[in-house]
Amino acid sequence: MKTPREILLQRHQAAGPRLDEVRRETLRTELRRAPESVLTSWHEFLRSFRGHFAALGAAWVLVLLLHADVEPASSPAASATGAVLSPQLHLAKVRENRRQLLETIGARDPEPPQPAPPRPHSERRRQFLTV
Amino acid sequence: MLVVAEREQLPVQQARAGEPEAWDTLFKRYQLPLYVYIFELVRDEQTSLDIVQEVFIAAVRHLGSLRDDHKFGSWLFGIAHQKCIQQWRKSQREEQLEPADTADEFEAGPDELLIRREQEAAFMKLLDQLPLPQRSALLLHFVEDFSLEEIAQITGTPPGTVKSRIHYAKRSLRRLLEETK
Repeated sequence: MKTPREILLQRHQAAGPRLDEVRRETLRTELRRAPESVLTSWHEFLRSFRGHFAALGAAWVLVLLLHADVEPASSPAASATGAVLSPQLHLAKVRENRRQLLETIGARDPEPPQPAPPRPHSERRRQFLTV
Repeated sequence: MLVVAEREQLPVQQARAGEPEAWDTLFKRYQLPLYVYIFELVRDEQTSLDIVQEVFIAAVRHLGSLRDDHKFGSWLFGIAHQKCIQQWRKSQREEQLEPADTADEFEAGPDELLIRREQEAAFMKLLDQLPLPQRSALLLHFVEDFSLEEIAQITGTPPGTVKSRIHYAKRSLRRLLEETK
């Protein structure tokens, strides 16, 4: 004795291999569709900037070439003064540059500011008292 | 009282995440019952296979429209039913619906009918002779043990009509089994 379900499923059992084929085919085509389309659209997006990337690349090549052209002139001086200037040396260099600039334009070097004269003790005390 | 089978744990959530193993499990589970249902309605092997594939494709593409994961089976059969209707329309073989009835035949359950080996051919012959709406309702009841409400949802007909269809189909079947005892 069998239930109607058993009879029906048994009757069509032979379709199993073809159904497996249908299932595999569907999974292969449908589940690969989504990632593929994302990849394709990403690829297309990048491709739309192809001209921009080429121009940017050419600009960088130009910058590198110019940099390579200028560097030999400046690098010996840099190597002669040492790798990094100390703050005191740097300050002295800035002062020297300033002096040379003033000489060139014919202006007088302004006198360095005088230190403020010390205030009398009495004044200081008064201040203290008034506060 | 309706007898609703205990719900299986199906990897619908994983399928929503696009896991191929989950889809494989789901399709393996339903491929034969779907094929049986479709074949018994359209009566053509290649058309049935094509419809099964169309159902699978629609399921992958439109799983987002399924609200309740527990209704995956009835949702899948709903798609299959729609595809079969399209097929019927194509072949212009629409059939008349029978009048509604308030019979309680549905409540007996799909396994209540037991068929002996010598009655199997007669059972299949009777199934062939049933009008399409009756056959469709009876198959959904037999093959997947769907509830009255589920069958109504799948076939897009009121539950009363489904009940009536199953009643008439089972009555014919019972009569046949009595005759061939």
